[in-house]
Amino acid sequence: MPSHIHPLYCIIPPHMLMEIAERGTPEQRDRARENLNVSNAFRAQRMKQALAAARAAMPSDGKQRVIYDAKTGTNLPGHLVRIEGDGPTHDLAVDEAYDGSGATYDLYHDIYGRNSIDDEGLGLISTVHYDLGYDNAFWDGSQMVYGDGDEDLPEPERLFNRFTAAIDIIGHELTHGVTEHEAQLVYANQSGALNESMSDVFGVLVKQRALNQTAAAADWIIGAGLFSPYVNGQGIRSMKAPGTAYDDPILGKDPQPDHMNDYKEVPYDNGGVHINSGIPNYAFYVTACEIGGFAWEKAGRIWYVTLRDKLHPQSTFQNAANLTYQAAGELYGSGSLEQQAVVTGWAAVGINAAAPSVEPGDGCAALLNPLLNAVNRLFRQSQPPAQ
Amino acid sequence: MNVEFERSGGLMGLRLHVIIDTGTLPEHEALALHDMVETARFFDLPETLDTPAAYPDQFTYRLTIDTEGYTHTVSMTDTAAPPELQPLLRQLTRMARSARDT
Repeated sequence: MPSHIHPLYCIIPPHMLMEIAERGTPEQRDRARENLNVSNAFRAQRMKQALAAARAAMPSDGKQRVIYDAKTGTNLPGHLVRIEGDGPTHDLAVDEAYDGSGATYDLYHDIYGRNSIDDEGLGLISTVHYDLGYDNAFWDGSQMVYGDGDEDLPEPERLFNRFTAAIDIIGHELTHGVTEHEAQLVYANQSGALNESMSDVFGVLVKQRALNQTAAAADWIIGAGLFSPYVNGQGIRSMKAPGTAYDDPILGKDPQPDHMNDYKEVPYDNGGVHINSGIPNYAFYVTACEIGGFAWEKAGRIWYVTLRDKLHPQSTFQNAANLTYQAAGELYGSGSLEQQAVVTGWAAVGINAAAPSVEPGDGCAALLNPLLNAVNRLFRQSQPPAQ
Repeated sequence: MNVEFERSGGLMGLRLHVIIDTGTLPEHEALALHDMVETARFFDLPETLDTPAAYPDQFTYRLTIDTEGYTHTVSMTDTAAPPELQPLLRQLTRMARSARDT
């Protein structure tokens, strides 16, 4: 965990720091002491932030959202602007981050029985107005970060709006957190593209659920509303028709493939993690449409159980196909319509989900990883809440 | 001064790439770029600037500058890029967009 990136004072109130300074390991004590020495000028703001964040970091049964404003700077998390239960601020980005992280929490909680990113009620921390002209959003290992797009450029040069504008992007970023706590898919090549695809899948499900849309009625566009009116595109990706989301003189054409035959080996973007994710994205779309109804109910559950219990850091597309097939069999029965839909979904991208599974490296990994995941989960559940 | 700039990754996974010979730019633009390179102390930066963990959806930059017989390349993720370098990265992103010579 990147505690070295975010010093303790960001998340732990001073009384806890003092405890740690006395009772922690030597390294924890040093860091706690260092953080207790913050200058008086910043103490009041930090106290306020630390208290809110500590509240958010406590295990709980409910949503604990905290929104910060970086005020176009790059220091994280920034200034505290809204915490759980506060009313709207009328700053669009702040309120979208709050509502979007709430909708994401609700999907995971209400449908899959998951209590936040770590399944232990971890607070959902977002920073908006990050940097100037920052046309991106990312997950930094402990929080979400959103830029405002091209607000620094002259109007006709602008390509992007603020990145909180699309609720599925908020679900996408939070799902990177879920993946980091579960399958820990390595962020490169096929496992990285699966990591990206999981974020698109649950991001789009957050949106479809918020809109109460069936698989057949949904547009399956990722990032609708992110582009300025000067861009020729519906969004940044299409799960329904990968490769068709945009075609623009400046941005070029959407490069996503929808079949293994068109898998792209590229020396950038960590081996094309945002490109080849089109393949598992399309497999999910076809599966969800085959099953019918609301995609988050069955197709989403099959993918969620696979992410939580079955995938491992080095998983390939073939592994994901085999494991979703296995999960569908366990959830809905061997040979069930749902399991057939999974086969149809992966067949559409050129992968046989019912083929015998070959795990990378040691064949024992296939047996060991689910076991280790289960042990980890039991271990976490048996831990008393943090003091 | 020759500048080769590549930005990849990001939520969108869009790759931007441009090669600029400042000799072909209007004088004020060329001067502005030279200033930004100097302010960033580009030639003093290490070849790799990485965040300790690979953050999903971050941008990755690769910047090569060739001037007066010196060539230097720096690869970095965006949160690892020093604040003094950010204006140069932003300007090059803007130029790469309008060029689209990839």
